[in-house]
Amino acid sequence: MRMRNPIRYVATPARVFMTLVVLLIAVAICQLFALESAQTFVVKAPAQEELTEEQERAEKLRLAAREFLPDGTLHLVAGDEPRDLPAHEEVYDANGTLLWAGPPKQRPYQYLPWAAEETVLSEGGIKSLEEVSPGSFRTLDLPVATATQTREIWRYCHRGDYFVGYATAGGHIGYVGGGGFAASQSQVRPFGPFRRFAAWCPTDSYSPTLVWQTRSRIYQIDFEQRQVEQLMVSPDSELECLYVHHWGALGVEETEAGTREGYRPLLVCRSADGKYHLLLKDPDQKLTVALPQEWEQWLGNLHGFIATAKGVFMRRFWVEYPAPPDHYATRAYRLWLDGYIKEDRTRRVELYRVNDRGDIDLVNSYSWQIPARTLSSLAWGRQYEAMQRATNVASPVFYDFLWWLGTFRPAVVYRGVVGQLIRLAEGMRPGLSVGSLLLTAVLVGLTFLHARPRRRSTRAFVFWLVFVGLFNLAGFLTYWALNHTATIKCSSCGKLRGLHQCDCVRCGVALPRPEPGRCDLMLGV
Amino acid sequence: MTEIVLETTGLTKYYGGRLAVDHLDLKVPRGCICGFLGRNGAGKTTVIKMLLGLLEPTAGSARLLGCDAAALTPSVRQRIGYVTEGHRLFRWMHIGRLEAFQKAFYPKQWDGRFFADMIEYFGLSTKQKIKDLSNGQRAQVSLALALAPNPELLIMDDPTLGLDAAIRRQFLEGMIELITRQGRTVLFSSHILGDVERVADRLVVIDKGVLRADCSLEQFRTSIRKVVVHFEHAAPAEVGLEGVVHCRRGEKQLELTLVGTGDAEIAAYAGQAAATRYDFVEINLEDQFIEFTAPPNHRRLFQWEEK
Amino acid sequence: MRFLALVRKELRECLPWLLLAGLLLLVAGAWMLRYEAEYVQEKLAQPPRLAPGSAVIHAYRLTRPHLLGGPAKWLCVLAPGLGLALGIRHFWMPLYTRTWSFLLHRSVSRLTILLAKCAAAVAAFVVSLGVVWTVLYWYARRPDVFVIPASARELVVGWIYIALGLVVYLATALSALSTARWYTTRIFGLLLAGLATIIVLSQWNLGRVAVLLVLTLLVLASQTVAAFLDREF
Repeated sequence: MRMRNPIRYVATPARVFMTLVVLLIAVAICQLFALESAQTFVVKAPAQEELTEEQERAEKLRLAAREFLPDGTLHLVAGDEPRDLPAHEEVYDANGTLLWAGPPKQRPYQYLPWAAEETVLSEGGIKSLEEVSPGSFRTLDLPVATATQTREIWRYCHRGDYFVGYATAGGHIGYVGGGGFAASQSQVRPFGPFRRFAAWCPTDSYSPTLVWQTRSRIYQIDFEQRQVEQLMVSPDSELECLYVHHWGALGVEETEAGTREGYRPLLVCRSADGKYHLLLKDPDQKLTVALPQEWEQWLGNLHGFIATAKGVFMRRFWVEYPAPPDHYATRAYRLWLDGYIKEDRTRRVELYRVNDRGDIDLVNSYSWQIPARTLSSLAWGRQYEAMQRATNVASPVFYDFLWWLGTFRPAVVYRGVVGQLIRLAEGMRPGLSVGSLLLTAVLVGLTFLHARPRRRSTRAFVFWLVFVGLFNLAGFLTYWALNHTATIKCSSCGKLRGLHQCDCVRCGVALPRPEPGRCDLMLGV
Repeated sequence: MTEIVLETTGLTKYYGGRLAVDHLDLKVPRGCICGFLGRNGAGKTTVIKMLLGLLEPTAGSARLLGCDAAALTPSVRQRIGYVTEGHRLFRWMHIGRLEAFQKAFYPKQWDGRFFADMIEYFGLSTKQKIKDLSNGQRAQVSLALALAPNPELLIMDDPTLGLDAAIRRQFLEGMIELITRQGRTVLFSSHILGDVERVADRLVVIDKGVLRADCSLEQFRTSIRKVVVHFEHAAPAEVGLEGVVHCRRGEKQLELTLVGTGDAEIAAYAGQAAATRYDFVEINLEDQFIEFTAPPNHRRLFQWEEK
Repeated sequence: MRFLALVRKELRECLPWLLLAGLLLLVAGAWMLRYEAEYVQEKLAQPPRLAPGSAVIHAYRLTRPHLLGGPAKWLCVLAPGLGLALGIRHFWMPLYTRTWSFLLHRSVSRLTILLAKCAAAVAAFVVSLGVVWTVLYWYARRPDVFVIPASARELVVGWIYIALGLVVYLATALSALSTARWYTTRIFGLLLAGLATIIVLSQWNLGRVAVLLVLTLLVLASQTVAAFLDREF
């Protein structure tokens, strides 16, 4: 009886899709709300254990910062809260003997600083400037200025991957790209796939100079001089992190003892093959440090570099524990994490000297114990996991399928929206638990009972049963929202039947005609 | 053979689980002025909307001017005039603009002179905005808009709803004049039986979604009668007479409302029941309609209980 | 002729809204651009914010809003607002004034009536917001007024906001045509439009934005057409 429109073949799937998406989000919000509520009102934080004085001291030393003097001596520096700006510090030697205590600014020791990241904008930041949202829609403008005014503006063109120059007095100047300054657009060479940049103003200039890192190169760009210097190129291996120390004004700490004495400008870049490429000045020098493969970078293992007048040093933090498996979402990773937190671990810090060939020699080493997590804190974590499993009972089985897909490739490959969706699926998946399967069975049963008297075709009937099985609660609500049509009792078989068809789906009898009244006046035309 | 311009076959409509129209079989011949009657909630507007494709029937079908009502083509719609319930028009338009809008859909049929004459006849101006018109004036504009394209079939849903007696009289007079002159077929629903009596030559009565009467006005008038039968002693408990729709008992009398019962049958019953005499009561169309559509043995409000 | 009559009628009904939106954008945008031009000149005349010998820590020091950033914020609000107003005027108001019966009995198909409404809405967006935005962009390209002219991307982003307005219009239409309760699936169209707006505004890749917009418009338009053709009035 329904009017047949061809548009229905697009509109019906569109309607199902729209309803499902909205309900998936609604169910997810309810689940998160339930989890947060349970965490607030049900889970009790583990009781803080009372420590003896000796234990407190040991804990303080365990959490203290490990710092090296230029001669390689190790100190343990313990500060009160907040950790990044303590009001009071205590300095201990490697044996735990107190050497000094007082305000940090009065500390008599100068420790080796380490090259750090000084990124102004990374890849994500540049992309966020291009976001369509009006609040984010901004331009990257590098000025060329004097003390009193700005003479030029160099604007980054994301699409073309170069800078376009404009004179503030009016007029177009030219372009700056990977090949340097170009007068016309056809001559400019793009920099390459952007990764990050850092910027500073030289001491004699008001115009910023950039260290511009792409996938395979590092440039230094001076807009005032319109010069582009290629500092590093790595054609075979993608460049990853970038660390600087005393490179221009980058990586310069402000201490009472002065900032530039005794340090050489240093730029460090790690490539994907695990090598560290060091660029030094005063004098100019290039070093490549190839570390043993087992010293791979994971959260437990960190490396840092510094270049002083007396030499180039490397610091290595590492844990005596095997590195985790490739993908954090696999069962193997969960087992690894279980073992990592349940056992005592030995952590080490080592100082190496780097020679002119890029080889490293051990100068000093220190180790300490990291205790396993206490039972109470483990129980707290387990409680949270149990609550998560309980709330995930209503999640679609479809999430398990997404998670299973994700386990085939490392998580780091999934960036952006796809990565976020897979991580969400991993956190909310039901994991084929008994509760989830039971709930799915109940909902499929309800769908069966509801759809049977209302069914239009076997294909649609089966589709909805599978749909509800796949999407669980959200699927059932979608079915219910789109198929809640009225039913009446069939006058012949007495069972419920839908009204979308003339005949009863069970006995085939049509809708009954009314009984003629005794006194009807049907006298016709 | 009489041409049928409007025909329904088993037309049925459910709102949710509630039955609104139940297997309506109706035929309206060409040139007929058909009054469509029913109590509140009987299903009149539902039927009219199904006829015009505004509602989809649950079962059954309807045909207007040979075209399926569920798929009325633009060319068929051009031949059908429709006056909506409540005369809902675009309030921001003035009459002249509304005429121009309506005219665009009837480029060949539109009779501008006729429209202007009607507007003048009703004492209106084309510069008046619809929102400034009274209910009656709006009804007049609706009628003018519906008639100006010279439709073959005119469907009106309670066209005199909310109009006072004077405006109603004016409206009907205009309608009679124009309809009978042009020989159009009209189907109109109404609660005002006096209006129906003045205009219609055929009646269709629907009660709780079911068709109860489909006959000429004359047949309706003559079929429904009220007779009071007097008895010497108490009236008999059983009334053995065909066609009784209502029976009210007095102390020594029975007031019977009869449908389709002949004089001979009445006389035979009176004799059989030993009645002393029986008298016919004159009832107007409105009373006939009420008696015909009232449920059996219904209790009238604020009346003494029937014994 | 019939189609034009319908479009004319729909346009006339939404005339106050499109005039209001266009005027707001024109006045606010022109004022902001004029102010921006003066502000930029003033800023350039001032000493720079970067001190010699210092590292740049915050990207904020090296970024500035686009020239059309201020008017873009207005457009980002006006476009969905106009979409909502037109959707209510075209689809909700006839439910309250009960003029659907009169309109649907015109000698045209239901699809024609719907297309006329949509055509009027598109024309309203183009005329009141699109043309104004393009005029503002043209003004922002003038080298005699602005040191750095607006980029083509800014023009495209404005039209993306206008497309989002159309998305809201279709979502409002779908909500009006739905016969479900408001607390059930009736508002799902608007929720989808809201979700699509959030996702689109967080994108930087214009190709991806185009795909998202086309998908959303397809989902909403197909449902609106089907709902209108099948709806009972």
